[in-house]
Amino acid sequence: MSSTARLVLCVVLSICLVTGGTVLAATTVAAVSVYRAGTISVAVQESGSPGMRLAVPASLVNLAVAFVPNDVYEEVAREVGPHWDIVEALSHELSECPDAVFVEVISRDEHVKIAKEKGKIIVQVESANENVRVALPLRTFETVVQRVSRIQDRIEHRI
Amino acid sequence: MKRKLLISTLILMLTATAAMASDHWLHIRVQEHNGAEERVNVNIPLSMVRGILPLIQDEEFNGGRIRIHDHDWDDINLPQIMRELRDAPDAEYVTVKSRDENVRVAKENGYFLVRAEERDGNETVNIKMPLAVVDAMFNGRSDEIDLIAALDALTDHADGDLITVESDDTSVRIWIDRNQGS
Repeated sequence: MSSTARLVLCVVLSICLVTGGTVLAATTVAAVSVYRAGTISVAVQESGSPGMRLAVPASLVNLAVAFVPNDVYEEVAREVGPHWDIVEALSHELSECPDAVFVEVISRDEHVKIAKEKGKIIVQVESANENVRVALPLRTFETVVQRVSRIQDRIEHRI
Repeated sequence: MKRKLLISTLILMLTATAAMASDHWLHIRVQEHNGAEERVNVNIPLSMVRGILPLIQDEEFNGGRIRIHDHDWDDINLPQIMRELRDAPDAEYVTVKSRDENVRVAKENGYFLVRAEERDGNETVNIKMPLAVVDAMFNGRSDEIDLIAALDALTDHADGDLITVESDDTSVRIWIDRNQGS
């Protein structure tokens, strides 16, 4: 192999290594980010049907939140209006408090549970005909709350 | 009896509002055993109540204070009564014994105690409220109940039951402790 060919091979290998490393690093960062953000999961099981299970990486939702038009947030901010402080406080308090079952209703026909588990708000309804479980990472909730809060601040400044 | 339950519920709400230490939890447990066999458990960190309560704005509820408009209360100066009660010695203040019900209102060891027993429905209501909490609750205007002040006062008190209701078909227990679950 000539010295020129060796040089070209070295350059090509280097480019491959750098590209591969970058892709690997990006993938690792993305995986860590997805893992840390958790997943939003919805599971519905009705009697006599195969049921539905949906798990969306919360990081995707966090990303999507940034692309939702401001008009949507403005509408939410206007509708919730003066009560938004309560939502903000609730978001803060939920993130601070330890895991716990906040509400549990147990009857002969139904079991309803609202809890905080491992950084997620869990709403679970189990009945004879239907089982529903929704898990929402608190970070996602906080992200949406912060976005709406910023929009609301802007609306207040305009007024 | 319904009135008593309403009053006890109001006091419970106040108490619940009042139990606000960072590591204290307010628990409410309702059990129905009239065939429905339903059980409701509520566990709320007091810090959450303390953080959210002042933000609730309503005509009757503002800044953690409830305005009392009930005409039945118009002629009653609750703050004055509570001040007198705070300064008075331990005693049994009200005792009613009738064919239908027994009622006892007393002050004992720093607690305001109410016990109402209804014979027909086999219902018993017990309220055990630290006097400091009751005092804080009614320490403002005569037509207001200050839940935030009550909450702050409650944090200084030991864990325990605040209200219990026992009847043929329902049991209610409201208490404060440091456990997250009931």
